[in-house]
Amino acid sequence: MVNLIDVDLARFEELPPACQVIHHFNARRYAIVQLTEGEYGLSWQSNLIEPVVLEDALTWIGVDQKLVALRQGRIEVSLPLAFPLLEILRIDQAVIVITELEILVFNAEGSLRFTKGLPDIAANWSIEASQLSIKLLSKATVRLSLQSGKELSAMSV
Amino acid sequence: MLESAGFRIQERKFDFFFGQITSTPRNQARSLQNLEDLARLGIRVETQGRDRLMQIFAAGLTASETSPRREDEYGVTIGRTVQVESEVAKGGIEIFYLYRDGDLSSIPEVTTIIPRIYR
Repeated sequence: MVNLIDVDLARFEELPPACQVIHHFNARRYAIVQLTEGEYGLSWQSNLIEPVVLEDALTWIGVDQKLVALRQGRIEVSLPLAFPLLEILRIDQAVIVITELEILVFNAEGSLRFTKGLPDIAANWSIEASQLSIKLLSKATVRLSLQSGKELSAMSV
Repeated sequence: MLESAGFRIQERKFDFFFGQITSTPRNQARSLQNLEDLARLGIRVETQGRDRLMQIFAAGLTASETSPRREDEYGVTIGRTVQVESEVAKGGIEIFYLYRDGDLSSIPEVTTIIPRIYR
């Protein structure tokens, strides 16, 4: 169970830089994630947004435009995101990171399977039989194979 | 689709920018964050905020690029930032323009924005 505690800048800065795993310029919020192997710091800009945490083979944490995945005190994945994070999902052996205009799909151990740009903002999503359906703000839908990243159909995009 | 001063934008984007999207809890939070950050920068829907954003999107067409270009099957997306200041905050709005099929001489679509508060 991941324990995420809101802290102030002073407490965040007490952490060694290597443990400040998510850092944003002009941050307005700070938090500490307590895992069994130690404490990790997050800083981000969006005061109304909570970090997304997914516990799996790795512990995935994302907020605003940064994503990390940790395993037993090691950073296995650390990536800037081109667009603000919306959700992190786990299905079968895939971890799906949904941002406003891009989908990133990782294998469970942290290697990147594929990325897929979207022509419009992801409004909601569903997964069925290894297919990811993304409904866009425009109401069009993009359907992807989670295995290959290939688009199965696209309507009016 | 609205077209104005060298760019296009879907009407529904303004719902996302001004806090009206509730499609998932996280989309709702992001939409509300946009609403709040734009308000801090002095851009509110009730005080012609939509027109102000349209002016900013037009100004952004010639602003400096602030994100690496991204290319996919839909085209090339370029992020450019316009600095914005209000009585209470100083910040910038990064605007993402999609040039369909990678044709940089075509009229781009505004796909999303990221308001940022510097102080």
